[in-house]
Amino acid sequence: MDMNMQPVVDDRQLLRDIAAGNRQALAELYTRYQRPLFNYLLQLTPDYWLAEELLQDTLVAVWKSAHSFEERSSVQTWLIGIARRQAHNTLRQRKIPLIYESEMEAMAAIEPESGDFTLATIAREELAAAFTQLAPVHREILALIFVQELSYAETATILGVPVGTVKSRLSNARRALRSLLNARKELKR
Amino acid sequence: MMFQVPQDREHVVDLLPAYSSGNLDEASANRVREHLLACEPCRLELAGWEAIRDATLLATASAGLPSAQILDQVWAKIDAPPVPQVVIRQWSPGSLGALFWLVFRKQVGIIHKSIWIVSAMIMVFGCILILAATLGNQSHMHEAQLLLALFASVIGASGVAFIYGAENDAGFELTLSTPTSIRIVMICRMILVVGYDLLLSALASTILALSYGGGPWEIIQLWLGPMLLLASISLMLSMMVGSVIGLLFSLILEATQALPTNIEQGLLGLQLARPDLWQTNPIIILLAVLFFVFAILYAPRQPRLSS
Repeated sequence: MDMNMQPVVDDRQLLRDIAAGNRQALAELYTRYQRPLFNYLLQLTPDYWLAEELLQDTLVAVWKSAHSFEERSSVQTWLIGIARRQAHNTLRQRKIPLIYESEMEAMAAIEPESGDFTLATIAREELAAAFTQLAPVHREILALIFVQELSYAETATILGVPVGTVKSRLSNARRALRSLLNARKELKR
Repeated sequence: MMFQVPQDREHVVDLLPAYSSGNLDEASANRVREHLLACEPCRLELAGWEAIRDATLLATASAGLPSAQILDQVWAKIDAPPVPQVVIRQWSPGSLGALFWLVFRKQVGIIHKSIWIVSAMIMVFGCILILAATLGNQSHMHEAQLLLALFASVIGASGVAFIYGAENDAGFELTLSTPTSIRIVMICRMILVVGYDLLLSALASTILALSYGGGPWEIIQLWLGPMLLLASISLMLSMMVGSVIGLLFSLILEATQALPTNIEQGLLGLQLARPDLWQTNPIIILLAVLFFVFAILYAPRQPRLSS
């Protein structure tokens, strides 16, 4: 039967089909989520090939555990949660410390409040360059909120932290950005 | 100068990142919108978040797509045979055999020493008694054979009655708590003890056969079936109700078959006998196997830890 004749299958139904062993369903789910998943993984590791490997492992894990999806969260939240677990396990096994740089350590490098500028006046390219220099923990929270467009509650679920921590981590990421921009400015002088 | 937004409940600083990404529920979004109308510091704060949002999107937009073969590699991983670690090691016949052999060997030390000694002593004593009473008189050959069969059945029943339970196995609690099934342990012990008794009895039968002439098999077939049956009944009862009862029942059963009473001239007399049914035959062997299987299946459900 022509696939185009089929009505669009919703994400949850896709996961049910995957749980039933339907490979076409996994391919379809991948088509829908490859970009956000890959984008997210690249925030956890700058290594393109490692991110691809993690993406593969994420799909394998989805294939194996689709039956355990309880439909309490959105499919996207569930997928990113799996990707995060895969990334953490693999990075831990390979003793890649990047992702485990804790927020405390990341914050230690930031001056309290710095610079007499407002963020809105900074060129986006410069701000984007500063973003890439952020600690993974801060890149991750910004990516979850602004790229994945998740709510605080969904983000908290994925990170396994209270909603309050999501808020404070966001504000810390902002301060870290300011600090980086300040350092770049002083370097230019 | 930079603005510091006051951190009190009136302001909506916390909600601004979600607001700028359009991820607030309707009620909260309205609250933020209203607040922003009147609050300059929050408007500036929002502008900052919008700048961060745009920068984040810009920085991550260049990420691009993963390579096209990802799915092929995923299928390859899914279809790959399971890593030959634990699973195969657990189930290959060779390793299963090795495991069984290990458990088997360890039981030799765990089974109470007196089982080995008492069985051997009964058999040696029986042999001496039989030979002393009947040797040199060919007409007593049949009685000698029946007596040996009696001794063989008795040691078969008695050894097996004492291989299960806390009172016979000092490490019983430990045995139950290891991953090795108590069933495998009991099969090993049964094979060991019955095998030992078989060997003793076969040896005695050979000695008897040599002494009187004739083949040992003729004697062995007198006791082999009953010995196996009594051993399995003894094992089953010892596990269900206790060693002593298991042993007693087996001995009484043997006595009723091999020592039928007869009353002659008003006197109660015992005679040696071995009816055809109480020799090695398919029915006896089948019953022995059935009782043994039942005992083994029963084992995990009845750990008698408290006495």
